[in-house]
Amino acid sequence: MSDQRLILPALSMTTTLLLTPMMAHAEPTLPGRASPESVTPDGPVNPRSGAPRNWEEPVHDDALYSQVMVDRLEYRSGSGSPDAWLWDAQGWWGNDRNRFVWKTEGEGPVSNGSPESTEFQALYSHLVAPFWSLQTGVRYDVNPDPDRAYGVLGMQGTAPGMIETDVALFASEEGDVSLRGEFEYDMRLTQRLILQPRVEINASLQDVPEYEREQGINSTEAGLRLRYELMREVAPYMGISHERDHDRNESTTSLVAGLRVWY
Amino acid sequence: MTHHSMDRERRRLLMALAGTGVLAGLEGLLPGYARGDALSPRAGLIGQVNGGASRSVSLDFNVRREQVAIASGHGAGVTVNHVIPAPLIEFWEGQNASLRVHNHLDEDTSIHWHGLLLPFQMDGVPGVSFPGIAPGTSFEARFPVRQNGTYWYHSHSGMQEQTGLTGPLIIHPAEPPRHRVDREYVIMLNDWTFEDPHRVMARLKSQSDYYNHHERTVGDFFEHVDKKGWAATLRDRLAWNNMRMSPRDIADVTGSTYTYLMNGRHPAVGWEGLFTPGERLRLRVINASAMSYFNFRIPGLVMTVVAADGKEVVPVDIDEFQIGVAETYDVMVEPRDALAFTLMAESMDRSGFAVGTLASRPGLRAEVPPLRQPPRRTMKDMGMAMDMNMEKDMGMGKDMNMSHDSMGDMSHEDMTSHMGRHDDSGGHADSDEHGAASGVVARHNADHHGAGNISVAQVQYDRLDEPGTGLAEVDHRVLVYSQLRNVEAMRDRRPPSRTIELHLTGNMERYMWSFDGREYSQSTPLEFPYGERIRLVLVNDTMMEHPIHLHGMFMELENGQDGHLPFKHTISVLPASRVSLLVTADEPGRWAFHCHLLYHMDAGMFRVVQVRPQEAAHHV
Repeated sequence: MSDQRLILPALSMTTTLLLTPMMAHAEPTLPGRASPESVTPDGPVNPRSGAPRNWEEPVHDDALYSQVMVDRLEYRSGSGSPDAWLWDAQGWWGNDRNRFVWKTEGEGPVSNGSPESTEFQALYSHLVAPFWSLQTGVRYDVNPDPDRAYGVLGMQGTAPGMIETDVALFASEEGDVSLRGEFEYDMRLTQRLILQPRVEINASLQDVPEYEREQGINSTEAGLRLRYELMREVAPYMGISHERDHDRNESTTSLVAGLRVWY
Repeated sequence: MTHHSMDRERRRLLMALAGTGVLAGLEGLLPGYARGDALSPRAGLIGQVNGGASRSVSLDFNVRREQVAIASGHGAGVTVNHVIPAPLIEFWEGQNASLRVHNHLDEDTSIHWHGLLLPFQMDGVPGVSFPGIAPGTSFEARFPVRQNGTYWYHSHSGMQEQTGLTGPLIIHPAEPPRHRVDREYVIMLNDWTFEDPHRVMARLKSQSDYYNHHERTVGDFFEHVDKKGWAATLRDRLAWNNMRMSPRDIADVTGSTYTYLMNGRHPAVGWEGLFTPGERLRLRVINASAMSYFNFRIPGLVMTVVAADGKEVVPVDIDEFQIGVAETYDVMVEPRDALAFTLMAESMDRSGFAVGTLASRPGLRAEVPPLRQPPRRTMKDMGMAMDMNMEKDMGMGKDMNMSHDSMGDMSHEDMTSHMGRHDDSGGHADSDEHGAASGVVARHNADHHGAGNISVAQVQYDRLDEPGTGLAEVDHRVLVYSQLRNVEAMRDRRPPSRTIELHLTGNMERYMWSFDGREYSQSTPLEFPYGERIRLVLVNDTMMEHPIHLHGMFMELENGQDGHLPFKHTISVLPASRVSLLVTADEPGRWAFHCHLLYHMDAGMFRVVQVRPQEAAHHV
């Protein structure tokens, strides 16, 4: 194999040099140049490179990459409610334009009792505009009781003003439709210290008695988190979060401490 | 003892010897790879061009992955004959080169001879000009040497260029040199990281500003308020935020991971070249880095630029120049005093520097100037059409006339005829008809290049007379492209038979880079019909500069030097600028054409140019 590779180009050049004068229609081959006829290979051609199809690609812009991002993993200590855990993570796997995206989110009391909410999403994400991905897929909630499956249609991206945005429409297997919007903004205090306002809104298009939800806005959360990037991937944070449950007409303000970590 | 461990022993010995300078005298004893001409490092003489009688060269390049001492640490790199950077090689014009590359890696390798005119099968781009060199095999590139000047060579496989496989390549002219030279040095600049380059790429894909630690902060905001007032500051912040971009985005990969090297030496050590006062020195400066532009100056010495990208230009006296990735400049200096002079190569984003010294005696050092303030992008870089107030607020240098004239809705074709600068060959002498005051030479049409492109240069400028990002306000002479004048008269004076316009595009958010919004994987080759004279128009729709490299043929830059357009193998296209180049398609082949920022190329800013008879192009 190695000998072949060595000899072939030299050989083809020599033959071209010898043959050229005899071929009436051939372009002349100039010294130190390839023959014009040698540019198009015999056999199957890679339409991107014009080279033989069995050669490797010169660059791999279609390569698959992935990311796992635990955006919030936090402990919440609130007035008038038990201390709670919260997680909010997502990840992707794919190329630049097409990705498999997963998301999970949940919350529950630290002591006694099961989580209040636990959800998983599996989505196909397609880049439809420079800053925006259209996401479709399924969501499955194991909490609260009863379990429920949803179809998901969402848009995730960066809105003008550098606002990280994730909006989604959920249609449950029972036919209920709900909406969620999450918005974050990173304000850089120093190169490592970042203040992040965050707003989340949940709404229903109809009453959902099983979960004691009424038509309209169900809950809102406004948070302010201050994180310190030990490195880009690892940033502990502290902050406050104000949650309002519109259905129960209750408000909770919590101090939060947590970790943002990705790879 | 296994062969492998023996090899390692020998390597350790060689490295130890190299470190003490003993190797210089031991060349004759060197094993295997020194079969052809000697090709090994000589401690203390790194960068010295040897010259000698004109001859054909026959060299062996043994490519290995091994641990090396580099950048004040130890890292795994891709070596040629056990060294990083790869050894200096010298050719003679009119003679032959026979270059055997032996792959000792466990992956494919390749060597591309950057800027050389040769049969395309020897060009060393796997997947385009040849299949690559499989592990355990060899490839021989043989070609007659048809040119002279300063060039370089590097791997075109994967990320091997980032991990060490770059080396200088000098071709001595057949005719006596135009400039008397007493001493010649190669000054090769590199950016080294101990990170796995694939990890660097993965991080950029997740967070494209991962390596930028000069971002705007709240502190900068209040500083801005102090200087310009609340209204201007808010307007400026909103403008950038609404574009979802950062004016501090100068380099994707920075000194936060890179150590910048001069001839392989990191800044704490520095490279040293000796001179005798009164000598004329030729410095052959090569930017062999993967991602870093440099600003190069020698405080106390005037530099006379005599060649660009290997090709001779009419001498220009300057104090500083910016060098894009893959470009080369030859400068002459004449230090008259028995002192030392610092060679300062500051990375364009000013996150670090490479440094060396021209010393009149060993060990003598001059002051190393401090890094200057990081530069910023302007609204001009964004190609934004703005009202006058915004320009004033943003401290833009030029008095720009932004009246929306008749160019509003022109197609690409229309715009080419209104390019600002044209030489005599194209018959477009009506320069700057539509924007003499503003420098606006064209406007973008309605095609925004899809989801793979974030922004377009709504207005496009001729920026060939600008010194480059961060150098507009220095108080000394900085080289600009419009000064480059070929010493030779233009040979091909035919008007171009076709114009090909390509837009440089990207989506920073996803770290996607492309031409016309299409990455390589979505592209087909560009056809340059054999024998034709082609005008290539490049429009940079992104907010950063891209060094665009065409393999196999020189491009003549239409910079106003009528009849003496300079040759370039790599052209740095400034943001929101429009440049025009002429190419005579007289080198048949499949040639790579790409952004020479390594991670941009790998992300898709790559095309194949096919030079073949027109009939062949139509048949496929």
